[in-house]
Amino acid sequence: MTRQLLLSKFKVIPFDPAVLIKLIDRAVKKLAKNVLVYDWFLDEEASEVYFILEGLEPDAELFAEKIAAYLRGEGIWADVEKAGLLQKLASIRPAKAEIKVVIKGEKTGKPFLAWPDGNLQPLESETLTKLLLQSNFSLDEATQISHKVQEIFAGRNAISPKELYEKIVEIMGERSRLDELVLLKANLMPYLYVVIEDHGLIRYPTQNYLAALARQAASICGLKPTRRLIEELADHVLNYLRKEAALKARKFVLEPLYPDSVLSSSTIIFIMRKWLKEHVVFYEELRKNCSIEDVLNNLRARIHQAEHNYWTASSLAEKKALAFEVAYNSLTYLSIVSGHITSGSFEDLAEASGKIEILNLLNRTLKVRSNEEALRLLDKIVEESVSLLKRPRLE
Amino acid sequence: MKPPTAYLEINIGKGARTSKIILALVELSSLKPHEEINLTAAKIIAKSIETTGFQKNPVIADAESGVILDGMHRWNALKMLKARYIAACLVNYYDERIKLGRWARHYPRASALPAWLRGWIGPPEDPRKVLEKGDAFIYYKGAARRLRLPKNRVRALKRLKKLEARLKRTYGQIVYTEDELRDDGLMLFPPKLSKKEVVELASKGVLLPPKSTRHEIPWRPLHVNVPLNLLKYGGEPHVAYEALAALVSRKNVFEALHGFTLDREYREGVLIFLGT
Repeated sequence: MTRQLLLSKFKVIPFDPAVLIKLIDRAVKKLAKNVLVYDWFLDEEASEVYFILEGLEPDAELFAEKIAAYLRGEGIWADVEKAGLLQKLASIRPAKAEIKVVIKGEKTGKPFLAWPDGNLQPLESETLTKLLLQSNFSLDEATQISHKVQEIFAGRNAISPKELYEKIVEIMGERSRLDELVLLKANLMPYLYVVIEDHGLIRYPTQNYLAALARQAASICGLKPTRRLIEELADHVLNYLRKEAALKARKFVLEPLYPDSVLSSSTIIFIMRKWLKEHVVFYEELRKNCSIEDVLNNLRARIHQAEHNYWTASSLAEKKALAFEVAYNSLTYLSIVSGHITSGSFEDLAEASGKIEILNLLNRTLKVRSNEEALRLLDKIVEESVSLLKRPRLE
Repeated sequence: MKPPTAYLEINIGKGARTSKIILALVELSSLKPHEEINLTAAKIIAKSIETTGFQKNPVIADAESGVILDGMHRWNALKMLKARYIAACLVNYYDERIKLGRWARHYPRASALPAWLRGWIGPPEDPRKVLEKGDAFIYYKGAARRLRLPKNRVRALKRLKKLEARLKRTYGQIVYTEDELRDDGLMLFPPKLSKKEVVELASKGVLLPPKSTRHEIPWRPLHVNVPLNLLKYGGEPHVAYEALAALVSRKNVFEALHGFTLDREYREGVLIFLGT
């Protein structure tokens, strides 16, 4: 008897897929002995679970029976079904097929990175360099690889993260080190190791999906976030999941078994709410609706105090600091009045309050050389910022 | 049909038995259905695609004419979801290994020939000869009786649809079976169509009644899981075409031979795409 690739199928009673996914994930990790579980998936329409595994037929049968028994023990009726027409387990094999990618299309611009959930993101060399640095590559190596990748994919419109990873391995050649490559794989393809269960569906941790979760988290907190804040939050969680994936990837090198970690979307939202609480300006005050007026009143008082100090200050450095304080607080005031919640950066505040011109004035002030010109600009900033307070109060 | 600018070419089998399958994204509007659908079934599929975010299995279509051979409901479901593209497996319809058959309607509970049917049928004949000829007929108690139908194929099939519904009302249960004779109950065989007829009718926009044709394809890709986001991509088509090729080409492909049951029974070879 030889080890072979097998497909095993289960019939389960129609049940909440979220619970099923969690239970099966737990059972696979516990019960996969003598068999190698490559993958499994739940067909929620047909209430069927499939396992792709390698091993001896009796071991595979025993594994299937054990999983079914485990589910029955949890109160879910499950039965091992015939996967093939003749036998209990369908014998499958890696396809002896020649698969070729044919590309005849024209180049339309920057190549896109195609995520498995179908979202397309431009392949920026800065993003790639950052990921390479996170994977313990040196700055020189990271910059060099990023440039090479852009050159290699110059004629392409879309590539997959897997293809990108394979190309980097090829570029590295003999210089490649296992540790860096394991980390790179986890950073580029965290979905290979970590997936998110969302109301019974498996979702990949991609930027777009996490942004959708971030919007949910913000609305739970009663916040109206800016686009930038959502991006920042999604980025933060993606990095957290990348670290989680790196841990799993390291384990996978030692023990090549089914490595997935299934996290529920509610856990992710919890992480996001925690981040919001720690990073958003005036979060605590804003969370309590009754204190928004107080926050605004405090801000007004601080702005007027800073304005008064500005007109009485004598040194340019002092005036500059005070003008910036007036502008920052005025923009914060306006964005809170308009119901937006920001990450607190000048760019974000200016965008949320719709007052980009103040941001432009601030940038100009930083560039001018003449003191007189700088002073003129600072006066203008303070006047315009204070005039923002005359706007109507809370919407 | 205008071929997509990027696709996956899968060559499977050996020598003369090699099958070439093209897996690609195609514009939804470039494909032509040839059968009517069950609206409820299409809505269920649409809901499933929307919830899971994936078109699980590609439709099968003729590369030349764009006629959909299998997957009319998926095509309609994606139309409901306002998708721009559909994942399709493009084949050469005139390849001998692609078989065009028919679905026989079996009424196992029928215990007599209903009186109202008498005006529709001819005298009893040898069932094997009639079966081979591919004409429409009723099979009951060892005898075949040809159906008197209009010469026009479409009108004949529409008339047959009414007949089928009336028989269902009379006998309740209906089972769609292969093109073979069964001795229990009553069987209704629709006329066999030719590939040319199917292509001509679909190209004219004529929709045949459901289950008018039965296609057997040598190889069928399953679980390709093409994301709905990609099917709705609003940018340059080259990018979407290439993205599909990039995503699917890196998956692990397994084959199962000699018949297989996944969500239904597959008599053909099956290619299962796994991983991300």
